[in-house]
Amino acid sequence: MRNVFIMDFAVATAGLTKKYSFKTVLKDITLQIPKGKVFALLGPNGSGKTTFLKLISGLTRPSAGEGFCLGLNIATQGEEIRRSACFVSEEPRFYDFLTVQELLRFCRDLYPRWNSRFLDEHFKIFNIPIGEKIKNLSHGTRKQLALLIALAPEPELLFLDEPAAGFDPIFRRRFLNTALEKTIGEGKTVVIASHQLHEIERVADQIVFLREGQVLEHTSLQKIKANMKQIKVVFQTEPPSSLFTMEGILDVNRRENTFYIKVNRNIEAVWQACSRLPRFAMELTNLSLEEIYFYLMDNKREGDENNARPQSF
Amino acid sequence: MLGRSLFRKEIRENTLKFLFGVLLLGALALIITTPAASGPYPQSFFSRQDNLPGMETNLDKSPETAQKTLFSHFWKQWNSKGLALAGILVSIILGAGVFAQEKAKGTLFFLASTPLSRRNIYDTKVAAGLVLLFACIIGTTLLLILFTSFYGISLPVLPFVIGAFSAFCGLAVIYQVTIIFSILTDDPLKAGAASAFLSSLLSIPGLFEGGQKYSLLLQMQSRNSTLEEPFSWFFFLLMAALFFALRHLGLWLCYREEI
Repeated sequence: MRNVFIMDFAVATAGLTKKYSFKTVLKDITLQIPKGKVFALLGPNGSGKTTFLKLISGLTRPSAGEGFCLGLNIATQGEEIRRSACFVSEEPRFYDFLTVQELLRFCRDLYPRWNSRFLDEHFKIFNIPIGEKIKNLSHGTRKQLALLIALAPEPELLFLDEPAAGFDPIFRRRFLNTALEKTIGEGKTVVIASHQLHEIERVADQIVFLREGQVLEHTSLQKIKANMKQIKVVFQTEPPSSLFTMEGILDVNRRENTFYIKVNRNIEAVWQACSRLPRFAMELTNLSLEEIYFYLMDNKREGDENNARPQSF
Repeated sequence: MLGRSLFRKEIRENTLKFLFGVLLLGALALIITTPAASGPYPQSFFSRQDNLPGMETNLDKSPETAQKTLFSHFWKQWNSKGLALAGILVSIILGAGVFAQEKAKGTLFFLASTPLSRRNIYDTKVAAGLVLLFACIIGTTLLLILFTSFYGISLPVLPFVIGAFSAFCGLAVIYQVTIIFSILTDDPLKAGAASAFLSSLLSIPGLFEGGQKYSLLLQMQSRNSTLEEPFSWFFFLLMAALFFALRHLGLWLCYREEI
């Protein structure tokens, strides 16, 4: 990859592949994560989200392909990457015998920068007992602590692996807001791997859908939501089957006389065709990220010519 | 380069294991010294020998010989029974959890996600363990010298410290072997058992004629640097070579296992 190109993005990968023994966990991932954006990785368990985060943070080496994170080679410059990119894992584990304060001291010495003022402020907001031993902290408090420890070195890039899994909506929102205020507010980049589609829909700029270690779709949230619509129509009579073979129709669901038609292009023509038929009601709705996610995961197959390709969105 | 805060953490985390080692070896030092309380050494030592059936009574009982015999007695008790055997146990206990325990508790991922390189992590952990092992071995040897001085016996400090250092070199190799098993498993018990087994194999050459100088256990007893025999660098060089070869193997495994 060209140097200029590498420096333009927070992360740039080409043909990134990871194999463990005989199992290919990630296959031929080529994508770019722009700087200053919230980038979400979506996919079911085992789709390779965490492996991708580990690869681009230099925690594990690629079996094939190459990648650059903040202009640094992920295969050879892991330590340098982790000075400017911090990782919050799904289940953060710390040394139980240390107190919170001792853990902070331990971490402070490892990073070139450390914002103690930010920590002091947020320890009060999150109500984290600084003198308490780690082993006495609840799961939620540990996770908050992990986030604060990841934000204190003022990273250029923040990796969040299932950042708020298992938490109530209020906690989830507060957790993500803290992460985003400190990073996006300062022009930094956040990469989130998550199942929390509602939260992702609220915060993400760009999305990658992964399944079985491969990219199904890489697009901006705005674009995919603008281009992927659903026409809900209740016909008075049975519609002709030719209607559903029109170009741009992705999927048709029928519940009695109501038809839910998912369209990703040629929307105007499909709408006109439906409106020419006798009907009781018809409306055009936006799809939620959750609906798009389920559609992609259920329907899109590699090399399926009838399905939309990434560029079509 | 070593990670300062990781080093401090390692020292603190292993303090209990270190104290166990000090207690074990300290107790052995006391047990070895206690018979001296039964009477003024070396006179009582010879008088007991005179009473043994079949014992020659015309032994050389000059003060020099008596002194030499006494030092030799303490030397063998301490280096063969104390350092060489109990020391192995201490080094295995210190090494078994280095990576295995972190893996089992899930803290290794947190450590790896910091800017520390695998080399940093490995070297720092090894260095912290070696500092504790060294303090334990040399410290308890000095404790033995202190205990004996209470009974009016002044053991020669330098040869005893050199002997202890010789044992430490062998124990450092066993410690590295244990760490290698600790990388390969997430169960400290398995790592310790595997290390104990392999360490016993390293003593097999001593069973054969001429193989004594290649036996780890025999060399750790410092036979070549005892009070009577001339000092030899062979063992130290062999242990240094083994230690660095094992360090490279351990580091390579750290990268291969992506710890």
